[in-house]
Amino acid sequence: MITKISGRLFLKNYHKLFLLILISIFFFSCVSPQTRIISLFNKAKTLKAGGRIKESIAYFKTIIEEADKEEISPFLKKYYKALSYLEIGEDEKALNEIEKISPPAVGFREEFLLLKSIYFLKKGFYEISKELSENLLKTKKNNLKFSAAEIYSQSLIFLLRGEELTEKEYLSGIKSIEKLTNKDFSSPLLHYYLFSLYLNSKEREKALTEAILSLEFSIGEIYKRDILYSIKFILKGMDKKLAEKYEKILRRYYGTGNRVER
Amino acid sequence: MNFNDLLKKFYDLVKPHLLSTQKEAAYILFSLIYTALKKNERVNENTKIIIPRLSTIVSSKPDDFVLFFFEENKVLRKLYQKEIREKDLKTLREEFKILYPLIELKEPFLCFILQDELKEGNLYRISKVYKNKRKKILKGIKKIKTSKIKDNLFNTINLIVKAFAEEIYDNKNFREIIFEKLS
Repeated sequence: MITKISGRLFLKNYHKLFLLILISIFFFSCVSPQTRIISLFNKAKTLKAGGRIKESIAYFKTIIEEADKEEISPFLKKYYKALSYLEIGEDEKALNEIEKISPPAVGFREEFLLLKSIYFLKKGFYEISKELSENLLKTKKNNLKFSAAEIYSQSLIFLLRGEELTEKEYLSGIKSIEKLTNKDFSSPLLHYYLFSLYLNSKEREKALTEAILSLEFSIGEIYKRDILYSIKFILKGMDKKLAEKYEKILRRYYGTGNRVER
Repeated sequence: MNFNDLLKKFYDLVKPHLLSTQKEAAYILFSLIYTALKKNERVNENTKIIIPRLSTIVSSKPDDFVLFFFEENKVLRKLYQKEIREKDLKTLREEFKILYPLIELKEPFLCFILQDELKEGNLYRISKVYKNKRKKILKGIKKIKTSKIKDNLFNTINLIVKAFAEEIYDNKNFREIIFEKLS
């Protein structure tokens, strides 16, 4: 019965359906290559989430095949190819695409996308980001706003807030940031990220040490205020004598400013 | 032309065409100056307005920290007593995104846009207030970009930026002067 009714409805409305298809074809022929790749990717993700795995794989494969032909930036080509490989379970190929990203070409927007792509690389996250960080550090240019190590640390913080890390992974992440920080010891941002991670893992003394180093290497004004406020939070739960000791060290970094009445 | 004359010229240009209040004019001017100083370039109709990016700082804070921030501040403790008591971290985190950079980090953009609220301690559900103001500012800037007076206006804005080129953008006086002269 239901089939019969839907059959009749289809026949009755087939001209409308035809019109809809025509409009869709027109729309897709007008959109930019970049928008096309993004919509293909979103469509594939929706199909996958709805359990239509075979169809979604077909879409992901289309992206992999067609991304190189589209007139979009080389970075985006590799980025969407890598994500599609990840979605169909071909992790090695995905990592291969990410590795091909040329560091000197990375700009502000791309930094963010790179950050996101590292975030997506859950499998092999540490290996690839460590390697990527080290390679980027070698080719670090003045026009980069963040060093790769800083990007890597930021990714870890994002992962941490997403609660996708096990304790073991988290500790291993901290260790690799420590190594990178030793390589680029004068980076106030790296010390700041370590400070943030220690703050989350409740390693208060280590957090304070990193906070002092970050201040010592002249971190920006907003980060400085964040560190100084965070220290208040850390000292509150600390042994009184130890807290006093740190207060003394930190006093020289404090400034004055207008505050909401307390 | 000195700085005061430039501000007057800006307001005279803007007033009849775009805005209903002087405060809105000040917000728009500040947003454009903030962007020019951050990008270190002249602003024009193609310039994308910079809205502060603080996500790493704000999102990396543990739940205990967020609670500490609300409990430690006398005004916030009173305003958000229900949320603090119920440990409603979803709401508190949403407001923390604006309140922490506003009160403790003194992010210049937020401090300027929300200075009235900050002065009056009117900080309950501030994220909604900020979203509405931001929407209005962006709408005003869009109008400027498409208006007939845009060339003249952008020239004036760039002259104001130049006059302040040696000032630091989060200089308290800088914010106050703009607001005063346009009020």
